[in-house]
Amino acid sequence: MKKGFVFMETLIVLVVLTITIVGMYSTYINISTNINNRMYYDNISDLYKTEIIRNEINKESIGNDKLITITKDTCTTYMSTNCNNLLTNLNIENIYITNEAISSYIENNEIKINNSMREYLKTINKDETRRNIIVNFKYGNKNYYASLRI
Amino acid sequence: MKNKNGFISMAVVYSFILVFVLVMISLLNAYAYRNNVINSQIIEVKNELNKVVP
Repeated sequence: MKKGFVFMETLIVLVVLTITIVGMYSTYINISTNINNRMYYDNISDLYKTEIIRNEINKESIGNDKLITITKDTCTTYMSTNCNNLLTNLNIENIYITNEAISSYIENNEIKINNSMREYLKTINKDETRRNIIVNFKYGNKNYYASLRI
Repeated sequence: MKNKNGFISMAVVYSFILVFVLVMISLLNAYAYRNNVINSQIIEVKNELNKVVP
């Protein structure tokens, strides 16, 4: 009688503790992943810098390409002549302009985008079909990303 | 006199476990709440900036 009770008690306590600890652990992992993402993706300051860039880009120069990549060397095609200074001052490495659903860029390996960009694309709305501007900032050796509609 | 040592020690152990679990849950709650507040601010900023597409 007594042994049966101790066994049941241990079993119940183990089950309850396991459920609680697994639940807490998964919540913790979710939150910490979210915080890690927020460190590098869509910082508020980077969003405002992206807005500055969005206003600087000449909309008429953007064609219907699937992905436009703008670097410091090629920026004069899409922006004003002093764009190199602007991109350097804002620590901008690359600017991407997407023209299709974000999911198509993640799945298609033929499109040349780096891995950190692919990781960022996974965190934004994959069904977003409107044209987006994605800006790749570089502070130190770390890549930061922010995106807005264009 | 009946020996109640087992009961008392188990009561102490379960109390510690309960306190530990409650403290952890409250810490996680605070963590999640702050996370949500910051996330909602970022989403709000992004939505506002997306509203003013030139």
